[in-house]
Amino acid sequence: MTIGKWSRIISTVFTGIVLIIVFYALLGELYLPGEKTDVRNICETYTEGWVQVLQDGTTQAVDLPGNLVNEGTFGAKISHVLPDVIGDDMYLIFRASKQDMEIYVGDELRTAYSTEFSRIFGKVSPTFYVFVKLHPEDAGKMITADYYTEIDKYVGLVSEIFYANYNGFLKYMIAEQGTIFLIAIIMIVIGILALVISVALLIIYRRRQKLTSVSMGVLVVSVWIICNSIFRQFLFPNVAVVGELAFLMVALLPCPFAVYINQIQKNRYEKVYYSIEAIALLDTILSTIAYLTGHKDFSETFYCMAAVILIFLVTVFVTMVLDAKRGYIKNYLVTAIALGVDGIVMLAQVAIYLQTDKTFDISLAAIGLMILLAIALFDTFKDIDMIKKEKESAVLENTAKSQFLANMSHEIRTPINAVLGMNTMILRESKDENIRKYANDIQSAGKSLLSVINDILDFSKIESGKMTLTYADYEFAAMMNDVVNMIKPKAEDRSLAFELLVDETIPSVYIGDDVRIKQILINLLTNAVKYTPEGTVTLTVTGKGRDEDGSALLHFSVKDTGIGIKPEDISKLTEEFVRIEESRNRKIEGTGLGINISGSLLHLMGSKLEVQSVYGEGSDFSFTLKQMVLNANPIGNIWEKMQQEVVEEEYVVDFCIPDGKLLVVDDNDMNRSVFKNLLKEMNCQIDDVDCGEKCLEMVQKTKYDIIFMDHMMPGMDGIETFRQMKEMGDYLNADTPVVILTANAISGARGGYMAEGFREYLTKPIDGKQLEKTIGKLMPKKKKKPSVKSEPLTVEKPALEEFPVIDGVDWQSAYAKLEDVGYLKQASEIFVAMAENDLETLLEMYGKLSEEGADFSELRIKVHSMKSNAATIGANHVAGLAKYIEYAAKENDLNTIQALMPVFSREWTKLREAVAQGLGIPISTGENQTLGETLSKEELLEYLDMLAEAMETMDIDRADAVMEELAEHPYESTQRELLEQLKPQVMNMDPEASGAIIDEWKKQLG
Amino acid sequence: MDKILLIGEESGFFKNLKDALSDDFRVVTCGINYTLIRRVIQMNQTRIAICIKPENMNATAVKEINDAFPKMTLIVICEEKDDSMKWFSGEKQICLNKPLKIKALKEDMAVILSEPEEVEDNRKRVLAVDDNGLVLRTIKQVLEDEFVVEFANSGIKALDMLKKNPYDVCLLDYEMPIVNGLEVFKAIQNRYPTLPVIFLTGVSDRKRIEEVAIHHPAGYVLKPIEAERIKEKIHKALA
Repeated sequence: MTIGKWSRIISTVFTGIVLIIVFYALLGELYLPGEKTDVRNICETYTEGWVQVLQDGTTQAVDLPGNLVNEGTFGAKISHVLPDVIGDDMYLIFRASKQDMEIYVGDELRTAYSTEFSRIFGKVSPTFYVFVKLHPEDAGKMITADYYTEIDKYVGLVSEIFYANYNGFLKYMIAEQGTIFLIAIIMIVIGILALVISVALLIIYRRRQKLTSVSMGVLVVSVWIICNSIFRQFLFPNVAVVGELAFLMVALLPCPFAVYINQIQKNRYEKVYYSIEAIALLDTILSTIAYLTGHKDFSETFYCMAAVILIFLVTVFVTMVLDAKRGYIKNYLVTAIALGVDGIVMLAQVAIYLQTDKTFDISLAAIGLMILLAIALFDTFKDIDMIKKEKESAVLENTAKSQFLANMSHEIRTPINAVLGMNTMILRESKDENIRKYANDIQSAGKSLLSVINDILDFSKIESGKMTLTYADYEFAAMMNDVVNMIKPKAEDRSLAFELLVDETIPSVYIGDDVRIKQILINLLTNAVKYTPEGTVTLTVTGKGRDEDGSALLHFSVKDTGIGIKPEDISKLTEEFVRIEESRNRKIEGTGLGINISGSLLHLMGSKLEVQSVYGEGSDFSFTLKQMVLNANPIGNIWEKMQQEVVEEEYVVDFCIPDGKLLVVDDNDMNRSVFKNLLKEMNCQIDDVDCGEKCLEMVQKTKYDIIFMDHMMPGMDGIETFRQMKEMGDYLNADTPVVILTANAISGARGGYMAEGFREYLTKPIDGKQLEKTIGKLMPKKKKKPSVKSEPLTVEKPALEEFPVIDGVDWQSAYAKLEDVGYLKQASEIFVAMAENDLETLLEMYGKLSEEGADFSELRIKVHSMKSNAATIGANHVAGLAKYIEYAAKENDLNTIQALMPVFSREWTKLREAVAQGLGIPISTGENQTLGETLSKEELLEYLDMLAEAMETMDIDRADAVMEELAEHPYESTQRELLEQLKPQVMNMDPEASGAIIDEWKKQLG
Repeated sequence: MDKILLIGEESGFFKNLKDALSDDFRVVTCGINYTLIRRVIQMNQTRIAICIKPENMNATAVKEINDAFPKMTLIVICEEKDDSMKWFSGEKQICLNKPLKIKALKEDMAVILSEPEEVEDNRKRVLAVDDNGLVLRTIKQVLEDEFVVEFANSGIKALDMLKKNPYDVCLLDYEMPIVNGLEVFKAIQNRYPTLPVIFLTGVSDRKRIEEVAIHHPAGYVLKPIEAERIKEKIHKALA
């Protein structure tokens, strides 16, 4: 049973018991015969026959109850002759209404009442019933009652006088105020209970309860009743305090009820209620101050309190009428009715009070309050029930959401897998240009679609709090490589420059979620490119030192010179689906989810996306990440590192497995077909089954090299099948690696799969390259054979070994660009041929620099050219030196050039010699190189003409042919020298320089 | 004037033929040295080679020469009684027996020479402009299979060549002495606004390229030249 039901039962039982008790009590007292007591209960009003004794001693008949003549002395005296017979145990009971009294029987001061010495504050004694004991001997004597008060209103006020015995008066009191007193007691008890319950609920559920304010209100009222009742002087030793309490209760009365009604009305009129509360509190404080300072008694300021209550009641009435008009009242109809009735009753009682001077009688209204309390209690428990239900449904909803996400992920990705997979086959097999063009379009559209879907799924995941990070170790350069590969082409398409600046001191290997970091970077960079019509996009990574626990702090910044963002729009960036300035940016594709996802991912990583932008000039998106370091070696030059990554990657793919056996388990026909097609070129045996059961059969019959298992299958899913396989113990495929295929986009799943025992995990749509890589990893080495197509690769690998290991020369990167080993060799030869001359020219220009009016630009262009040549053969360190000299020349910085030139010159020469030696390129041709006969003058002139013509028309082949021919004949020394001079110029295809040498030679020939 | 290559051993016939042809043509003679023969043909872009007494030669070699130079016409002159047709190996070949009809031969040769040399070539024409020979050679190596590539080593020469021949795309180095790439580019833009121009540039020059990118979206390629990249860029520009 829910707590709601329990509490309802409790409250019902409780109310029932209370009602029974009350009922019984009432019945009992009203209808049951009373116990006969010996004592006759006497209680008579004794207001006839009194005379006022005036100052001068004269007497005047008075009508009581009523006011005596006010002589301005703050006092008034009345007297009476006591009856002839006075029984035992009789009293005269006077009511001192805020008056001090002295009562004389005869000349004897029988009784005096004053709280002058027993009260702390106030200038008058509280209202009190003064008991004057009468003895039988007092019969016939004169009794004088002297009333004294400093409050004008009460001067000479004589309200009640009784002639009664104790029991009789008691009976009278009970009859007068018994019921209400009882009710008050009950109210206090219930009020306290309710208050306790509401506080407990507040702590447990952290929700404010209406119950609290109502119970407070009820307590206030009940305390008031008790403090105001006749019984007080019998219950409490110090009546003064009690009297003050009563007034304070009245003053504070509106507050709890204001809070309660405001809560019921759902804060619609909260301003008004708060004002009333404020007024009530103010009134309380002021009245208290007045009272404490002896200025005005509470009874004198009572009218203020009453006024506040009146205002309050009127307000409640008005708001309820408004709510009735607006239709809100339906929400709290029952309470409203109770309040309404109660309110009217209270108004009536206030009116009565103002009319008469009877004490403020709240009896009926009190009952109404009880009803309110009961309603509030009921409501509270209903609320709790609702909270419980909400919680339950939220949990259900969450589970439903996760289920939905997982399903959607699978449902959407499966067909896309088929589309892209089949399309890949088309691209692989079709030679028709048109069809290939269509297929390429399909590929890019398909990839776009996949990207949008991934965005949406990611977004949903984040929204339902399901996004988690997966930690794995990764190389920073590899991550950057992927990012650059994605972005560079996009930038170049829009003729934008893309700059990557990575702090060389940062560590090279980390542990973190590089997939997500890549996602964020690519997202920011794609945006930068998208929103930059011209200029530069820069990705800067700076190390910001280490955190206390040893993690590295990396600051990433994506800057662009694009259209910028207005300051007021920056906050809009993270709102999902909002794209800024939609009208201006309509032409730019995108869902607008990117920044939101990036921001959320960063938040998950404990970071924050920061945006700075100048509208019309550009933007800077940045964030700082904390990443655990696995290898602290500084990463160095990022471009070099990335090149290494590229080349390494290229060597993995392209092999076939003619003896290999693979098993694919997937319920979807399309998927199996795609899979088999992707691996057609591997030439291996691929078995496929459509369910887990069949898989279990197959693995008992054939030993497979790798098993690919789809996760989501009807009936027995991939995980279940795998578990059953494990349970088979030592069977044929006990050691076979199993790769799980899943459309499950939820990150963190990887860990789960690995823990389960899968060797690898591939997401759908399956990427051909990833698949090949995985197979490459998991296939036993002996089964891997070079594929027919890949001959060039396998031939090249050893061929590159013929290139000498030279410190600072990265043949791999040079090869990666030229894609041809033969040409790489050729380029090296050309390099060697030109190198000496290049350096000579450079040094000449360098020598001229120290002169006045030196031309740095000439040197700059030359060294720029040399840099390019060095880079072509992968001599990156020499190229680097050249670069610095080039930059220095740009700045006309002679000092730096002077610092660098010697080392550059040395390194250049070393490089040239190392390459020449390593590759067997002759550096200088000696006489022994020439075969053939000496050319005749005609022939030589002929050749020289041909050469000149070839150079003029920039006909490389022809020029090379002539040079080759010329090189095979001997010459005398000066001509030999001219030939040597010609070589670099022809290498460099410089018609002017070569032309000059040819002219010189022709001149020499005469 | 076109040069005719006369191949054969020194003999009376050889000398007579040379003299006879020298009136109308420029004649270069060559002994039976296959390497030299190929070299000379290549250097001179010989259109007609006359081979005398091929029986002294290696038949395979003759065939090879004929195959190696498809644009060249090979005239084989055999002895009277020989079967000249046994030398025949291709279209661009004429087999003659002695005695030679010089006049007819000259006329035939004139006809051959007057035919336009260019076989129809669907390939796109690329003009590469750079002051660095290594760069030009790299471009040649990478592109010559797919395109007809011609070169210039300065902006002025480039403009000259653009005037003389049609090109489909231009590769332009940014840093060149005397007149830099940007200036050349502007000049090209003025005269040939529809010609796609792709810049060849080092990493440091990007900022300047921006100025240009506004006018012409064909883009740029970073040096050192990457084969794939540059081919991609060219294809894109031609699309």
